[in-house]
Amino acid sequence: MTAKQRESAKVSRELEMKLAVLEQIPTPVFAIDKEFHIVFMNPIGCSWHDMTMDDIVGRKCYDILNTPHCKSPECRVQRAIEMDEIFITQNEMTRNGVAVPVQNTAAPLKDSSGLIIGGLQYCVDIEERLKFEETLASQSQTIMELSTPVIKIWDGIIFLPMVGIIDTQRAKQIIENLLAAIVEYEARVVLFDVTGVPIIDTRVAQSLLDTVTASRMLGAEVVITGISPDAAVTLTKLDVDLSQMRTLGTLRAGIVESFKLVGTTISAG
Amino acid sequence: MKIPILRLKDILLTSIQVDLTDEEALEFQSDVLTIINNTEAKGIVIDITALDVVDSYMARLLNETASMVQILGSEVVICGMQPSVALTLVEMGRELIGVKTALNLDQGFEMVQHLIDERGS
Amino acid sequence: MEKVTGAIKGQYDVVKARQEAREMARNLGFGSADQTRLATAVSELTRNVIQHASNGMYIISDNSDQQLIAIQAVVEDNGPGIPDIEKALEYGYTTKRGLGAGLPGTKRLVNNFEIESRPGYTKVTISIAKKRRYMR
Repeated sequence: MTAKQRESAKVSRELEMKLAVLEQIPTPVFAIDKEFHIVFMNPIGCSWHDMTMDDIVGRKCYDILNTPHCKSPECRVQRAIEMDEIFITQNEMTRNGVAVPVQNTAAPLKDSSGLIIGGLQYCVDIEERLKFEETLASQSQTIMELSTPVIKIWDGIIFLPMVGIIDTQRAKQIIENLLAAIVEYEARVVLFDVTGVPIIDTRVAQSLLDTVTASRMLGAEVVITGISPDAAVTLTKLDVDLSQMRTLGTLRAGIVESFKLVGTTISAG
Repeated sequence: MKIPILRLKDILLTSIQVDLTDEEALEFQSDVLTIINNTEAKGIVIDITALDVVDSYMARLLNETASMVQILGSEVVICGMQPSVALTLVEMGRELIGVKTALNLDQGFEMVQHLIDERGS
Repeated sequence: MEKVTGAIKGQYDVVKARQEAREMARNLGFGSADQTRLATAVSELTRNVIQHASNGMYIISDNSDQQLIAIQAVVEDNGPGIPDIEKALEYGYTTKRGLGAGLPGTKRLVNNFEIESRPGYTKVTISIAKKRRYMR
């Protein structure tokens, strides 16, 4: 073989390899021209739509793919063509008639001189990932609930030990749980200990106050213990009626008070 | 739709079972006051377990009804507020003021009895 | 897109509107607390219409997208309008039976609150939303 032939054979092998790789990418890849005609779709992309490449090439991409983003300002490949940028987004694609959540990447397609001649897209099935994320989300929900358990300590008395930073989201969760617990346990006293809460800002303090008010409307008295001096300052600054709140320094005092409120006295020894 | 008001010895019991229009709510208020006046009942328990929406109008109506009953010399307890309703009222800033509330009928009865005893002495 | 609409002519419409709002919220997967918040807000707004305008209408619609589950309620009327919107929205403003009564409270119940008001036309748009955890 001459050098030229060897060179030619090498280019040919490289081309074959590139083609093989492209054809065998295990996720749909396709390209369109600037008028949204499909100019290429890889075998797996074709199989998702149960068609051959011959059937598909030349058709408008939105007719074949028909995703929620198609023919709307949401279409990312259009943005990619217009803005010469890559866009990654979540979308929905049909695979053999079934809707599949996908992560879609759209990029401009350029010729050898760098001119944009169309768009390039590939998508990845993210159904498993979303399921996993949902499991994670519900686990963190569980953790959030576990970290503020409501415990029945006596007939009519429920105890809520708070630990950690409370943001408005968590505060909302806590109030809802607490009110449900008051109903479930028919509680007449709620003992709310905030010793483990380092910071109480005005929003949280307001939530605390709302909790007290809502609990009272369900017939339960609220006793709060463990308020730090800083938190006490925040509470007084709130300019609200604090006479509705029973606060005590120690948990011990809180427990005694709670029992008193349900009409039972505890004696030591 | 008239809301029935039952009587158990000295205590009246009424339970709002349906979503009320403004007119029906006013009618209810008037019925309560009439019956308190006529029967010299010592207390009334108003059960709102079935109300899943209590807006500012209804909240005001309940507040007013309770105040009027107290002026007529009777005790009043509102029971059965749903947790979501309690939360919404608090968030709106329209919580029931000056009315004794109880979780359920059991507690409601106990409470009104307690209030009557206290008033007596 | 799911949508419910109705006229607000009398007190029965207030009840109907809030029940429809609750129902749609439940169908879209909102919890009981959110259902109550929306129903209460719709009740406040539609009641305002009967108290201060002769009639109006409401539209409750599914406003969800891929990231959020959302419900929007629009309440419109051709009444006299709210003279001082800013004041009406001030926290603590309580004209018990006045125009715009209950607006600050309603605003606190929802995630989005927009109001447009001039003599002859008032429109309040509210919505509640929550993050979608799994794509439909």
